[in-house]
Amino acid sequence: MKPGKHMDCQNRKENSPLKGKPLGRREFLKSTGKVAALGGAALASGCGTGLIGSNEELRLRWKEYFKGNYQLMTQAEKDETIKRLERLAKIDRGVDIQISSKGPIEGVLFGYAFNVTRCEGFMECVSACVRENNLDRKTQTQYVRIFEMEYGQMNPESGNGKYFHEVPVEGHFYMGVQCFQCESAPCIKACPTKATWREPDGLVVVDYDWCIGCRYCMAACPYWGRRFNWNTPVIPPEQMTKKQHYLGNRLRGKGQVEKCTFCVQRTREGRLPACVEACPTGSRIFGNLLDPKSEIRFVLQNKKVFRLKEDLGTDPKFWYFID
Amino acid sequence: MLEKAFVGGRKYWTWMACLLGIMGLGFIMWLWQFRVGLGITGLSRDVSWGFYIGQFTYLVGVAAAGVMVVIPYYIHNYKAFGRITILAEFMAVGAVSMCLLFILVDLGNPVRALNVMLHPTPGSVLFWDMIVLNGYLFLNIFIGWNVLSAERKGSLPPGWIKPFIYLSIPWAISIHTVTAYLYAGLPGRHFWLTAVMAPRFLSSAFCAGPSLLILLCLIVRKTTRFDPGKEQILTLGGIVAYALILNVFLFVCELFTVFYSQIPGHMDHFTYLFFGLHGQGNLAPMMWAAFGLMAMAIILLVIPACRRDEGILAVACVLTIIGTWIDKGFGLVVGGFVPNPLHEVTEYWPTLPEALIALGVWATGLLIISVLYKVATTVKEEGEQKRA
Repeated sequence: MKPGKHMDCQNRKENSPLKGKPLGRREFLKSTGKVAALGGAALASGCGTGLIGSNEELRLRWKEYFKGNYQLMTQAEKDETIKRLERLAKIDRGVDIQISSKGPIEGVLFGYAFNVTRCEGFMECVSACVRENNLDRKTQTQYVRIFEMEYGQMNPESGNGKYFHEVPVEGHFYMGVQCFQCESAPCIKACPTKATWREPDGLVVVDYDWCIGCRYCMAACPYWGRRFNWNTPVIPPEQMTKKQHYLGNRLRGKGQVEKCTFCVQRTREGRLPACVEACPTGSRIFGNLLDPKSEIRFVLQNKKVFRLKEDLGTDPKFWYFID
Repeated sequence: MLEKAFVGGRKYWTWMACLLGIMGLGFIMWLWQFRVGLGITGLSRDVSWGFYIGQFTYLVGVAAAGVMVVIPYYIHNYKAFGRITILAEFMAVGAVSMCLLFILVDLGNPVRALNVMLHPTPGSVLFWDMIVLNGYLFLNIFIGWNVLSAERKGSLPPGWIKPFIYLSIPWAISIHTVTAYLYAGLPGRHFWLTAVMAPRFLSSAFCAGPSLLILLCLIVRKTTRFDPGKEQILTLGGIVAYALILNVFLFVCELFTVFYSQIPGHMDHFTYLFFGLHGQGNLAPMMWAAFGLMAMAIILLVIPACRRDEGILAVACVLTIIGTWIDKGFGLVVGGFVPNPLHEVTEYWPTLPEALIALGVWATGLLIISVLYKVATTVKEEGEQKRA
């Protein structure tokens, strides 16, 4: 893992139009579309095709701009915006995607536990997460991070989160961090637009299209759990996960905040999060906290568990335990 | 009255043309940022706020400082400040406009900015900041314009404007308090999580703002036939002295708690800012410079003979402005993000396009101030001619 800033610098150079890279038609259309949406219907109807894009694309973007907050949408409105987003993904990137709007299941509260003894720092979880959640390959956005720790410590703050060598290393152990889905989340309180909230099944989600990109939530999070799209995310179409969720791994735009959702697109379908499934050592436990027979409940009842920065009172739904 | 801003000499128009040029350059850079994303700035996952938010924070203070003229005049009946209340109010208008613009250029998704008003979120401090800033902008334009219109007609300001003026006093305090609360209520950021944040903000505001006002008064005296007055400038100098000393005192209070308690999470931010952490510390020279400048300004300001000399006072004001600008416009925001909540050090430095956008916003603010000052001083000049 290279340090984030360094990578950002590289990208900036790649991004620079001063390098003489011609403006991509698609990118151009996209920004123009937004300007048009703001500028008014006159511009939109005035020049329908050619310069600004097809009438269809423009109509879709226009309607997308004026849609409401996801929390206030009726199911019919959700279906409509999903249809538009699927169509726009086809127009924009030439991919066929399916977006789900599946709601929380009653009687489910998701919880996560991390076995500090078992993890050997392979970071299979990190790459599985990147693929599953369609994270930006350009700035190498990652939701999950693994810290290499020396014995005698039990806090990632004292570990090394940027190691790049063969693992496991003698005399070290490993701890993973990601969004902890706090029950009393400082990030949610910070948001000035209600673009982020906690679902009844405990997942803290973001309505990407409602986010204004002020990044107050990033300042508020005590766990470094949120990520920002400094540019339009780049995902090779062949590597894209096509089964998506509106609140999860669907395609984000530049200037929007995103975060780990415990893979809402998978977990609400009864599957495990990608990081849990990918872990070769079985260090990651996931399940329903309200189900007494679940593995996560077994861990909480039979292991000695702890949480990070518990003194802040954010009540995370992510525990660490030691075998 | 606005037509008076369109009458001016060659110097006036050259100045305005320069500002427009810088604004244009900044706007082009912003268009680039709008198209490509905030990746063209020096911001990163670790330092997700930087120069823009720093400028915003600093300028909220400058705007709030208008109250340092309004309180003596309207509450304590200190008549001398009657000559310059309009200048303080119009400076506040320019500063708040810059604040709002800095927020706008910092947004990743500015086309959605109105979402803040679409579904009010009283739990978010940012929502309240939007309310108080816009309210303050409105109050100052409204009050300033009405008072000036009355003066132009040679009459007293209408009586119904008084409640608005009294309202503007707590409102000015509120804009900087709420801005401090933006930072002071976040559980994971030790650097900002301090009750002394709002008082510190206010004290730095009340030295930075009047300092700028003193410089503006001196410029007005040089470039127009209206003289804001020697007594007014010297009284402002006294206010700057008190506020600056208070600002440094509150900083020392902070240092005591942080370093006597020896809690690493609290110390690390200060260590980073002044000495560097894990071998990285590109802000250290600036931070030392900031407090060196403030110390020099205090020395100049507490010696009565120096403070009463307008030339030396102007120098002290420049020192104060630069010192507090580094401290609040840079150290405060970046220092809170380094080290990050996982205790990693990632440094930040603004990029050229970022700096040019910021410069464009400054130019916009100066243009607003120039236009309003042109109107105000012309009205004042005409008034004095009539009386003479």
